Amino acid sequence: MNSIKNRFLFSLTLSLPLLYVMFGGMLPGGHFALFVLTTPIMIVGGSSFMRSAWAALKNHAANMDTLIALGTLTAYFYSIYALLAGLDVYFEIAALLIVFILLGQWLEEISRGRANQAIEKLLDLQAKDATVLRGGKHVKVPVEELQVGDQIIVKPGEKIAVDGQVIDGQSAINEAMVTGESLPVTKRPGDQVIGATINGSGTLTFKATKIGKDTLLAQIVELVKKAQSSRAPIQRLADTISRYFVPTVLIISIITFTVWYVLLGASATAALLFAVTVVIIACPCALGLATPTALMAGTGKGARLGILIKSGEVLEAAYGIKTVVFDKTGTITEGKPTVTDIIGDKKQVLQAAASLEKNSEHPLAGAILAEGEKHKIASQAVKNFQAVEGKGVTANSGKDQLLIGNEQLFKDHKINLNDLAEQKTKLEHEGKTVVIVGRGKQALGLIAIQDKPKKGAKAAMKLLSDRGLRTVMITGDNQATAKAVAKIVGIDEVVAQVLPADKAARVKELQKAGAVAFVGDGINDAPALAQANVGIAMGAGTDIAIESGGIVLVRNKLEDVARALTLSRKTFNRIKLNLFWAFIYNLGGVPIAAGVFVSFGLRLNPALAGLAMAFSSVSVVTSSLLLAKAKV
Amino acid sequence: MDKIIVVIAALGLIGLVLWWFFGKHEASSMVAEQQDNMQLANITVEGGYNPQVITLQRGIPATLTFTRKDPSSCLEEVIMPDFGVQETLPVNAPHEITIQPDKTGEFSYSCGMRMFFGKVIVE
Repeated sequence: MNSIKNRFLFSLTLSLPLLYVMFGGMLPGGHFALFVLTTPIMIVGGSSFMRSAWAALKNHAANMDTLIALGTLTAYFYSIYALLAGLDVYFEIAALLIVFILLGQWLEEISRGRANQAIEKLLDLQAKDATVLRGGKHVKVPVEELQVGDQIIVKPGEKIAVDGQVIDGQSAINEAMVTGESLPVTKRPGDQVIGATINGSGTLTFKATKIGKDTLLAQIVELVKKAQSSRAPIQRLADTISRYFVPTVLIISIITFTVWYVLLGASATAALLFAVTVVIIACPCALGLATPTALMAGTGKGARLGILIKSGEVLEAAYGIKTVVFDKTGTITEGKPTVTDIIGDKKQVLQAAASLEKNSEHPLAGAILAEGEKHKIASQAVKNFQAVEGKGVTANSGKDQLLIGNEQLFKDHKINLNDLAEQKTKLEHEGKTVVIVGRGKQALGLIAIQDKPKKGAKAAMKLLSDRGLRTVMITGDNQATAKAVAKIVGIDEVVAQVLPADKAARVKELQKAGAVAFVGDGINDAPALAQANVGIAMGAGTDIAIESGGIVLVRNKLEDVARALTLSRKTFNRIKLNLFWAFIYNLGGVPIAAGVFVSFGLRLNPALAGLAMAFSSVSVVTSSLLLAKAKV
Repeated sequence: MDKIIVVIAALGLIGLVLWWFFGKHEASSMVAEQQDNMQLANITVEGGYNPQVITLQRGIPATLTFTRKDPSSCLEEVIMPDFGVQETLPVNAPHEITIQPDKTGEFSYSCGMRMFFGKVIVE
């Protein structure tokens, strides 16, 4: 009999005859039958309200239970007095009130449980055991006993137990449950795997790198937990109102009785009914539930999409964003320069370039060597390797001198570039870095290298500008290269030649024009992420991204920036809507209950007021739950 | 005559409500007990949090044992935003919540509907 559901069903059954009376029916035994039916409802259905109202009262506190207890007890004891005095009784009001409020609480319990499921669902993803190689044998051990460095074998269809690095095998893995990525991701030796994701049709062996609370899943769970318990600044007003709410309603109720009885000459019974209705209709719960339930639903939905919003404060800050600033390298671009064009004889140019760059530590050298390997071009042995500061490198191969570098290097060696100069300018306008390759006294050709924009970068920028947001790219590159990249992906503005240490300062300047979101990977832009009104960190694979962002995007996808901002906006809008509804409900409901509009024929039965009150809090929770269906 | 009595009674009741809910009343408080590099405190949840104010020392992990005696769904959850805690309290069964008081200051916590408030002071 303890659960809300059981108490509701018990009270409902006993109250059915009362409902019949309310609509004009008659019961054998008359008023006394009503007393007999109502008393058990008061005891079984209503005693918990009375008990907690009393406990709160002793602490100088008051809540919804105070109002319910006061309303029902007044109706009940007045009716006992009326029964003895031979007046009209109102037992059905007390009984139905309890029924309706229990119904409301039951529905609320169901829906709040649903809103709270996000974390449980995440925890359920965790694998239970894993097959480990121990002493040359395959042993099945519980996940809790895994150690960093264990070699774990994953068969087709099995769950990856913990985070790790593939050492053998190849397979497509479904990471949707953790990252929100809908397509399976192919993993080969050297790739990272995430715990709780599901292996496809291949067999993999991987080495555990993170276990227990260090795994990505555990960190996500922790983050969502924190977010759901966080507070949003907008809640402050509602909190202040909550503090004064119940006592204020009590005072309004006393005034209602006095005005009706003393000034308007109503009977004591009529005045009392108005006073009881006021107490019943007021609903502080709707106010209190408005923010936390929406926050829970919004952050829970985000977690399923791989968008981790850290707190209510972040959510509120994201609402006012005007400008989205992107770090270029690794965020807009792949972060890995590759050769895009070769002008001249491909084999000759690449061979000369690869022979030179083999000894170089220049960041672009890697791109050239990778391209050489791709075309299976063997490099030649070189001697007298010389790096010419700011110009390029030279070395001797056989009797020829090989050169790679900029125009200045070739000028110094009195080598004519002919029409290569023009082609070089053209490639540079496309945002590429171009080097000239020469052998002996001849320029062989050009190699263009670019850190390519990510797939989907253009679409992501369009999503943002469609939403009226200004996009800015911040980079250490020179103006021309930066502008060219910005043009390709459709970014509005460029802030070029910024040293990593100055990024935060530039973000601060941009903030003068309105709230700024900064999108980066956290690797060299943690201060900028912190400086921005909202820091959005991409790629939750790194701890630093999880640490430094206010919003963490688990998938390394730019389109999620727009989705994250949309989700924040929708969640915050829902909070505002809930609060607005809760205010309006109480502001409108209390005067109606007090009988202000009686002359217009608007008079509320106290039991119906109870129904309204029960459903106002249910509607707030339902409104929050609907967030899960919102499109982002 | 009875109207005058009603008015006087109403004014008296209003005064009583104001005094009872907004008058100065000492909040119950206690300093957490220290034991084996842990701080322990018991909080009874009944019509609020009792004691309402718990004082902790900074840097020592603290276990707060909440015992909810109040069946009201109002007090079902306890939320401590500053410590990332949001837990459901069972009725009549002690429930331990361990927090790490790293920063000094006053941190208020509340029930799920934000009607009842308690406070943790870290010194």
